Amino acid sequence: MFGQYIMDSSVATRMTNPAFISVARGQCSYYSSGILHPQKILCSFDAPSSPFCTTSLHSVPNNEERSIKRERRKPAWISLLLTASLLFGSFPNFNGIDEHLFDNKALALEVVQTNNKNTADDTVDIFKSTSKLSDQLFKAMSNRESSSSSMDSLQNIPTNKKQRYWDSMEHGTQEDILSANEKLVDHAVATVSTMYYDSSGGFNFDSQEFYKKWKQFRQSFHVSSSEKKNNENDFELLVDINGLASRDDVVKTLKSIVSSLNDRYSKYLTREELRMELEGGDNGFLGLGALVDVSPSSSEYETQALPTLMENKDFDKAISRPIQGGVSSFIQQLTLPTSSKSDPTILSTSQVSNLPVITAIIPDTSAERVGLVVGDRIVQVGEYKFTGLTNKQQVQKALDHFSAKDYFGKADVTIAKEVDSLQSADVDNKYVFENGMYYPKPKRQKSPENIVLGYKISHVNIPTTLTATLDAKNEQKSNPSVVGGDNIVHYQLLSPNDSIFQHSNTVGYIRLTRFSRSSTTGFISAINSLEEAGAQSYIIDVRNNYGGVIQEAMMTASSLLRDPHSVLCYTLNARGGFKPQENQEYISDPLYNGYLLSSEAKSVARDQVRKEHPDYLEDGGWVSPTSYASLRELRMTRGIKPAHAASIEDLENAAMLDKKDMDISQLAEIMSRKSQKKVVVLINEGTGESHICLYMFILHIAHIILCYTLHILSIGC
Amino acid sequence: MLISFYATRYIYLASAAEVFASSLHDNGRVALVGSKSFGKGLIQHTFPMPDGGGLRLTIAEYLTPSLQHVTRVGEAKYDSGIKPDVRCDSKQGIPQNIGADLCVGVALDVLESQGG
Repeated sequence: MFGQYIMDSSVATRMTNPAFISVARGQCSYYSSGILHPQKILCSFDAPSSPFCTTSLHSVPNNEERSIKRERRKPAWISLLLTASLLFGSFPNFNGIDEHLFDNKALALEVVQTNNKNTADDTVDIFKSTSKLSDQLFKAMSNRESSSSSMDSLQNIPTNKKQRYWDSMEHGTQEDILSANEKLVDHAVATVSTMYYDSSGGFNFDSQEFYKKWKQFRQSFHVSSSEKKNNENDFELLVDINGLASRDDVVKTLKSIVSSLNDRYSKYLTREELRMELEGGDNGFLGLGALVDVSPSSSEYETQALPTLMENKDFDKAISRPIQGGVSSFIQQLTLPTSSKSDPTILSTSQVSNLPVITAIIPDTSAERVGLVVGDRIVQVGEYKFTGLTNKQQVQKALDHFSAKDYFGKADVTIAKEVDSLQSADVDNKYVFENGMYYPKPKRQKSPENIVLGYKISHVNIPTTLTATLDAKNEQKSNPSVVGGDNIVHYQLLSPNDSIFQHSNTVGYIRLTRFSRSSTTGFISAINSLEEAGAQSYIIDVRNNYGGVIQEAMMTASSLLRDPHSVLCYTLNARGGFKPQENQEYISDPLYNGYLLSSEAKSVARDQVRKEHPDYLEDGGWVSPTSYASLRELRMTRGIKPAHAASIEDLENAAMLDKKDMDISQLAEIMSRKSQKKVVVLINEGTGESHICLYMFILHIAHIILCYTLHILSIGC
Repeated sequence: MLISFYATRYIYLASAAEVFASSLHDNGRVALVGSKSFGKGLIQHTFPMPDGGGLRLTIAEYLTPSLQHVTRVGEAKYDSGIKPDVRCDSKQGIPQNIGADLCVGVALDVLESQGG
């Protein structure tokens, strides 16, 4: 439903892309009222018509009516609850799911009661309101007001509940422990089944099935231990062999349930692990500033042994060639002829498959300086070789051995870097030159990209972080004219003298190492001081930026975009919600500083929002902006002119009025008035891996606190 | 104190740098220089558990403004990551003195050619 306005021809062409369709399964309702009726493709793909599919059939009211209706309806979370209950037959641990979404318990109870009275007629209405599910989730997501209130999320679970769990762990009888653990697992399973987003679009994970199986298992769990052996249930294998009798067992169980999702980003953290993460750790592998992990391809052997909850085995067969045979053998055919035997400096892809791989590089560390990138493999450290290790546990053990807090000196590391095939150049040509003409390239001819031919071995001597910081203090630093910032955002002015490259303009360079609340403010103040220093264009460096809070990234981006209606990204959630995140939602934030890096007034974008949506700028006046997604829609049906229109008209007027003797200087003035400063963004392989963002964020805070303490003691930092 | 810093409500972790780069690029605001990005494209949230632990789950995916996937879809061998307009390896390392960085030099060339 929310996607209906974004349908234009470019979207329609994407619809024919099978990969897109695969994700759109279960979300068909959101496209089905689109202009080009792509629902035929989508819904036929989605064989068992899901409740989400029926949604759109029932509710396609016209725009304005609906938007009025929406505000008067019951809060959207009610529909979330109702759908959840419909999906699972009974209500899965009501207290568990998303307590932070449902603050009002009394209301929630009322819903449960209504749920019990449900008749078949009611279901239609419920389906109608499911369309607001995504609204609710993303309302929560974009609810910056509450995010600023820095609440302890551990307190979302009332302390007494936490207390109760640990009380029964410590002082309770065997039965108390069992039931407390069972409740915990139930909570986890319910959260996973309602919230987990499967990037295959529902092929690898079926939330209804997932909870149903758990429910079955839970029932059989109580009957007797002999009977449940006959029951074919994946949870038999996931739940630890000793049942849930002790704390260790339940931790093992939870870990294996989460790992059965086959998602490398999802994991269960115990109380201790969570605390460890907050306290931060070492500087990664050998203290070099690189995070090294067991290779994902070597872990495949392990996951095959583990039970998975994959439902559609046929899909797997169809779409992915078998892991060992298919893709890798295809790659091996293309392997460099000089591989393995003849040239000792080249390793084949199969040879490196068990070597540990670099998953993240911490910005401004020695690992970055010597040019380690995400995806490099570690072959050897000093005399210790990783090549002999065969399974995941051995590699992990070796890695643990090398991961320590305070290595000092220089490490002699042998690494293997990817060698790409020639056609894997990242810039693909969209046009083919033939018979003296350029033709658009047919899609099928698209050459497979990023084929790794092999790995080239090289030796590096890397000073550890401790050594590097000491060296840096002794070094004489070059002092550019304007420099500033902190660990998170730092900037400097590149005047023609500062760079070894020749350029005529002064260029502002801003490096963003992560996205957090202080990075947005840091970015804005960096731009302000560089503007003052007279920067004419900008380079924004997000290399090795491992991510962070998504709203902050969109905040930062929105400060460079004028049109309040331009879309920053689209989000797809587990319930089939598809929502454009628009610029204007971020303009309403008090942190937002206007439309930067332009010759126009800073307030121009904000003024337009104030004109169109005064409610945006009021506290708590958040409404879903989804019906304003398409500029075309705005022009055609509502007569609202997008921000660009004004400038285009100005240009046209200037050109039309003075056609006889076109005043070029006037035209140039209009153009320059509307001009924006040029910006280039630097990216690399490390851009976007968010493995460790959290712990680094904490490290930074720890650093500040440390500095502050030292400052009080007047030692300096 | 540290815990309260971390545990802000509704914190959604993602490969935020990719969101940043793609949202500006697809709206025609910036040119991208460098090498192809990691391609995560998923959003995580840590749910608190009754035992005081946390359950970190992937809860959503994002598409770029031009409706491209950033993550790999399923097991399909499908392109992931954000592609640069002008390619430049960072395998030679990022020096402390930014003026000596090769990719910064390429970026300066791009700015120059745009008349910036």
